[in-house]
Amino acid sequence: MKPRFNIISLTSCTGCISTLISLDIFPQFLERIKINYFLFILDSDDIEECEIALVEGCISEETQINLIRKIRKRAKRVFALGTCACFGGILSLSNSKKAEPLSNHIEIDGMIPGCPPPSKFFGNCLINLVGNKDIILSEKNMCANCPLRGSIEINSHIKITKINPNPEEIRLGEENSECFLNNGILCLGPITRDGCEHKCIKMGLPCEGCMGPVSKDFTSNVVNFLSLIELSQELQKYTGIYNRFSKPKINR
Amino acid sequence: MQKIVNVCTRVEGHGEVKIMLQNDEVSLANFEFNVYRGFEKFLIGKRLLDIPKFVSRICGLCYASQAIASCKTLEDIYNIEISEQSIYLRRLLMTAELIKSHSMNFFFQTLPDLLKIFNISKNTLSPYELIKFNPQLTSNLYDLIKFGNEINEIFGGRSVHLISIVPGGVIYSPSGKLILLSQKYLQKALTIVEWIIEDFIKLFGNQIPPEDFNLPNTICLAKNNHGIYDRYSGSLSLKEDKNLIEFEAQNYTRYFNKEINLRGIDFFFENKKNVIVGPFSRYKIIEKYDFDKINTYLEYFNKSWTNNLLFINFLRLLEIYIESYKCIQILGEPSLNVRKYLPSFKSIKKNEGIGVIEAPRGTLIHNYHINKNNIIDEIKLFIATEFNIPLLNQMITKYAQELFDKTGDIKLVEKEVQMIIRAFDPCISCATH
Amino acid sequence: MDIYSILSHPFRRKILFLLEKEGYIPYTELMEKLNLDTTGQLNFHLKKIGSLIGKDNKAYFLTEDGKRVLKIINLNKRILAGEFIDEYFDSKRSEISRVGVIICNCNTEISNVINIKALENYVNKLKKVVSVKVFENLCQQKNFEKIRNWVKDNFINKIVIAACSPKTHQNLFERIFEDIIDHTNIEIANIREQCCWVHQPNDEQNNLSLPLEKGKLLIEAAVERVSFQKKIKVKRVEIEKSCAVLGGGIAGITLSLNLARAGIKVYLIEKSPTLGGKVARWHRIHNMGDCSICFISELIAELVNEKNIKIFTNTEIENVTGEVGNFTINMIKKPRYVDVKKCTGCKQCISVCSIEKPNQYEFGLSNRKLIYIPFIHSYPYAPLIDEEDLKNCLNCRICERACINKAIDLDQKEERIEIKVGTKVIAIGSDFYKDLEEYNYNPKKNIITSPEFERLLSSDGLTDGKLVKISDKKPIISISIIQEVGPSKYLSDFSEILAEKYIEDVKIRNPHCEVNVFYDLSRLKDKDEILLRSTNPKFIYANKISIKSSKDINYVIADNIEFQSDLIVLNIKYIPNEDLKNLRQYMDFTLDNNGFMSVDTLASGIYGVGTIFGPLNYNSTISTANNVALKVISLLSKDYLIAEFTGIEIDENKCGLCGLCLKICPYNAITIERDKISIDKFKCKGGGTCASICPTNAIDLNIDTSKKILRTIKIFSKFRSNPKIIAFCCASCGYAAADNAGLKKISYTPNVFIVRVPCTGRIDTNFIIKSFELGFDGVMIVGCRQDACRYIDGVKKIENKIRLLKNVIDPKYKDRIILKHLNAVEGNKFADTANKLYNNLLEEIKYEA
Repeated sequence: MKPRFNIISLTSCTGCISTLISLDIFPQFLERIKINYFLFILDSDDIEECEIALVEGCISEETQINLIRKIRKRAKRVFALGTCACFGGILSLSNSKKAEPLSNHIEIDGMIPGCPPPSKFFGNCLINLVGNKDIILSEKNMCANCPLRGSIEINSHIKITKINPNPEEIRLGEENSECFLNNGILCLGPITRDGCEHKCIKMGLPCEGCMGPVSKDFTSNVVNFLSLIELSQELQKYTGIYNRFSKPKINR
Repeated sequence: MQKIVNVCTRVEGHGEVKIMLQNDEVSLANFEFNVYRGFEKFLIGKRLLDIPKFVSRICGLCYASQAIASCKTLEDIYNIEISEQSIYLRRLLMTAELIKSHSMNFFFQTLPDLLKIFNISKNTLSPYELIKFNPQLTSNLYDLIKFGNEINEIFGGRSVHLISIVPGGVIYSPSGKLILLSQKYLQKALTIVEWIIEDFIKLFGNQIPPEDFNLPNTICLAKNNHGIYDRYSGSLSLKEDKNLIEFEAQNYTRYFNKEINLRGIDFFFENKKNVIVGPFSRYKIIEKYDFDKINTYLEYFNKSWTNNLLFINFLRLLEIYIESYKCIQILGEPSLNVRKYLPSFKSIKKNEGIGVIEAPRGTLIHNYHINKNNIIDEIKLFIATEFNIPLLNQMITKYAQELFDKTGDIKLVEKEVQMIIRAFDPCISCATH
Repeated sequence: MDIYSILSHPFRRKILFLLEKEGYIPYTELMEKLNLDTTGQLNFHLKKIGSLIGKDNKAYFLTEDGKRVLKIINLNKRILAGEFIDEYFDSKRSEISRVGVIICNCNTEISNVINIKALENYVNKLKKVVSVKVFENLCQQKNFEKIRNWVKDNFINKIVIAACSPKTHQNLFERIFEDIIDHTNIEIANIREQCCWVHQPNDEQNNLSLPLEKGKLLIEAAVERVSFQKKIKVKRVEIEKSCAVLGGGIAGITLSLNLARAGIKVYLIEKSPTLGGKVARWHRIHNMGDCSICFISELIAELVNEKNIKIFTNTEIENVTGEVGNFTINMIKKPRYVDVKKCTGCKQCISVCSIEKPNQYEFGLSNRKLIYIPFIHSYPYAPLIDEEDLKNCLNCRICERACINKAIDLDQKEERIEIKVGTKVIAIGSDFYKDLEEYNYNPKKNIITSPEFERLLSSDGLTDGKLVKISDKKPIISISIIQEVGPSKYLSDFSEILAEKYIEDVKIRNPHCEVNVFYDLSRLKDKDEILLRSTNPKFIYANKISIKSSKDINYVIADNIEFQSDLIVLNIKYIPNEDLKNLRQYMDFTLDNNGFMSVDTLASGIYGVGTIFGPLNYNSTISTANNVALKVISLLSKDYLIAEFTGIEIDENKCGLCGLCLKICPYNAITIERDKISIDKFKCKGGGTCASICPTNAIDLNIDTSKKILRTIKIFSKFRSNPKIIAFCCASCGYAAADNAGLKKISYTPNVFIVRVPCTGRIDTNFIIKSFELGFDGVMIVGCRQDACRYIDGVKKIENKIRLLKNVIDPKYKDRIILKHLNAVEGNKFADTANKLYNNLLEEIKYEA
């Protein structure tokens, strides 16, 4: 029997679902599964029993909590799709809204992080899911395979003054050979999970952390990381760093 | 009074139709969304140059338009001219986004409706049934989506929330090989979309669309470049019947505005007419695409179509054709394959900036205001779907009233009004920014 | 029946061991071997052993299960015996935990506050606990055998002792279970100092249910922690029978002599070019007839003759690695530019040298040549040129030519030396207070310090021991001595004795000389103490002392009375040696409030003697040196030590080589070379700052794992009274301060839960956020004083984290995170902080509601 899927959007930009549909394996994926619930492409009335639920988006409204519990109840396995569902996502920047990952309310069986999840990785995840396997995430951080990783100097003093390079300073992968941190640009690669093929870094931009942390929560990691480097006064209080894709559970 | 709420299906995002029944009559039908994310609020205080990356996350379908509109706004504030190469690349990325967005909407959302409306199929077809109905059409549409996506990945770095779009232009990285590949993709897309257009004509060309879907008198709003189809540069135009007003974006407050923290756009037209944006307006304002082939295609559709909501579906296909064609030429530009550095953002020239783009779903305006310390203190985002909502509600209310009168079957009304909503192709993510 | 219950009976274990040895044993033979007459007992046990043995042709044998179990038992035995067994770690099955809990009533100290029976019942019901035992007083010798039997019979391999603070009796407990339980598997739930003694019933509030609940949770958390403890690699360290003594002053010399005479190889390392230290420059030692230089030179002579002592002068420590029993010390011997072996000490070179500079050994009172001998009793007695003086040298090389023995070598280079020692003793002494501007300090105008006065009195000194003014060499007829010149934080124990000595010395030289000794009460921290202590009528106690000079005449003004003085002596205080801070990079100790070494914090294998702990007089210095010598001798008398690596473990499968740990490690113990990360187990001190920031959790401590800490927080969060506070205390100071509150029986709110971390730098931001998430309302972080952190700068690290965290966390939490620097005796401050935070939270919570 084909595995049944429920694909649900909570508060999100629908980018993960549009990525899902644009995947080159999407037609084959559709063929090998049975879609129960997927409002984007299918008329369906209610969330029915299924083998796998893929949930995109964060929880920003009280009503979504009941919805997500229902999804959990009716699915054998629930996977968080995209950074919003995994960690809270972009809405974490908001002070007035909450942006909770699924795991704040239900137990999840795995996650497919990324904003959006990188196509190749996403495709592999789907193949695994269809084959009733788990999703394999790298346990290392971005530095592990970073094209800019050079020799590590213990005593080099890092002073961060910028979040991004100025537009005129952007250099492509091959023109840029030094770690962003050494140039005073904040790269969140050290606290971000490997797996995105370093696309931003190859394009000359530092990692913004969309794949989320490997362990602990995003904010703890940012704080731990930044406590090691000197940060310009202006950036020290900039929520654009700390809450980029996630905020602590207590900061609702 | 009875309130009926039904979740909309086959739309982008989570939206609901709310129907109010009073004395056995539909008093109101509204398309609503409960979630409101508040980008305009939480982006206040953020660093100017970070905004494009943040606003891209408003929408997973119009990501490039959002980011580019934002970059244009910043370039306005800093008074920066971007290179020809960057403009080409922006157009390319916007086209790729449009191909993806339009094809997804056509295949998954409106095609099943069209087939049902014209009684070609009995039920609304699911994707599985669509494949069976016309395997070639299906695979062609998948291919279109894929091509759009591939070009985004090649020039933008990933499928949505493109990395390469930054203030000052586009970070350019692909090799000559990849440019060739993109060209091939677009050539293929051109053939495919031609095939689909012809298929569309074959299926629906000689049919008469239902009058319920006829658009009432509205004001069209779209960007154009001196009467030529252009989604990137040019000025804004308003058109009602034959009256055309062309105006510069910074004067928009004469015609419409919005209040922060309140949803919706206020229009300042005397006759309180509603506004429509999107492919329909783009077509109405320029009247003619500058492609002979397209214009012959248009001849297949008579007056009964051209003022009908369902005609937008056809216009979408035409837009894919036009833009693919133009991008093939862009990819052939020799100035494209030169490594250029981006301009520097040194000093702020103005305390306010405006950036306008035609997103796939219509006009998108970003307007930022900064304070003495160069920190953003006001953000206004005019989103295509937001423009359309009053008209959409006007239409579904009318439709629901008539259908309920005719049938008395509220369940049916709930289902059927959604067809109008889908024809508008609302982008709920955008609208709930 | 589970395996542990099977194995809990010694009889059954015996059967298994027999079968392991012999393979197949028939029933009757088994009875014989077990010395049994009746079959009942054997049948019973064979039945109990069940699946571990099988029977075939009337003979018993071990099944696969049985073999596996025996393997584990045997491995456990070998591990405990200190063997290094890799295969053990491959077999995951051996990570078993069978936790036993001992509750010690501490002679009703516990039951006065907590209902022990209720506590016992609660613990008994915990899933992971095998058995609970309550003792009236665990420390009594008579109980030891009982406990050991209880452990063996229940096959307990992990123990929680709910009793007093680990600071009190941890060593004793570890000794009780020596050989049978690994000490890492002994966890102490501190229910005395941190529960019963601080939550005593008082009249107003007699709610004892909270301390009981707290006690339960303290034990439960300890059970969880110990159950998570994995085996730690152990190794045997052969003890290097030698000792390094840092500092060639009186303390170092005395100690070296003691050690060498006991047959221990001693390396005496001195930074300056000569042995002797400060005392060598004193005129004489109080109550001793000898002039000190004679006395010192006699000691040096003995030292030089001792075969077991190797002396390195002009030598500085570059690095120290290793652990107790086996340290490696890297040193740099600076060039002397004179070959000591060839030099005869004829001083020809000195007489021909044409450049002069102030002599630091005379405190700059007189000049010396560029090439010089520090003082006449220097050892080695050979001239030298200071390395930094070489740039002032004219390079005339006249000295070279003047030397008959060709001992001068201006091209001499520094020499790198490596030695291996079993232990080391720090005896680098202290410095003198230097900030004397307000006293108009000026030796040329006869305002001098006490060390300079010593030189004045010395027969080999500036004035050849005559009592004359420095300015015009006229006899001195009035001397004022100002006592306690220096920071007001502490008193110098022996300043009085010193003043007495000076009076004596002056009177010998000139009985008519007037000597006044002044105490400036405004500068003394503890006036009462000084007044009580001093009933000496010769001394003048003034509320305000100032010094005035006019027309080459100096006056001491004490409370408006002027004392004309030919000579003013500032009796300056000892201040901590600057080098202590550098030494902390290689050696484990912290500094106390005054900046001296804190004696309790010295890591094992390192000792200190002399004035590094604060001002100390000669006699005390000698006696501490003797004491330490005994300790060193007893340590080095063993042949080997069983050492465990309690530092960190790196999981290479998780490590992304980002290098953040390299940046945070204060000891440079982690290295990444050719895409491989490695930890220098000798450099790693287990502070855990690296584990706190590792973004992938690739690094964790062997003992204080993140899992244990997070689990502890989780269990504490079950406490039902609100608001509740979690207090992360560093093992060195914070935890001791909390214990100190207990020892002083200062009561504070029971809603504070203490989590011990090795260093505050080990606290992951995640711990703080998780605590709030789990329902704690306040977070206290109690660490060492900023410059006294055991792990160099751990407090600084947590401070950075908290500062950043406060930027992002919901504003209401900002005042709910408190960082406090306390030292080990500030229990009252600990209690104050806890109570204050508790009361604030109480208010806030009321307000919120």
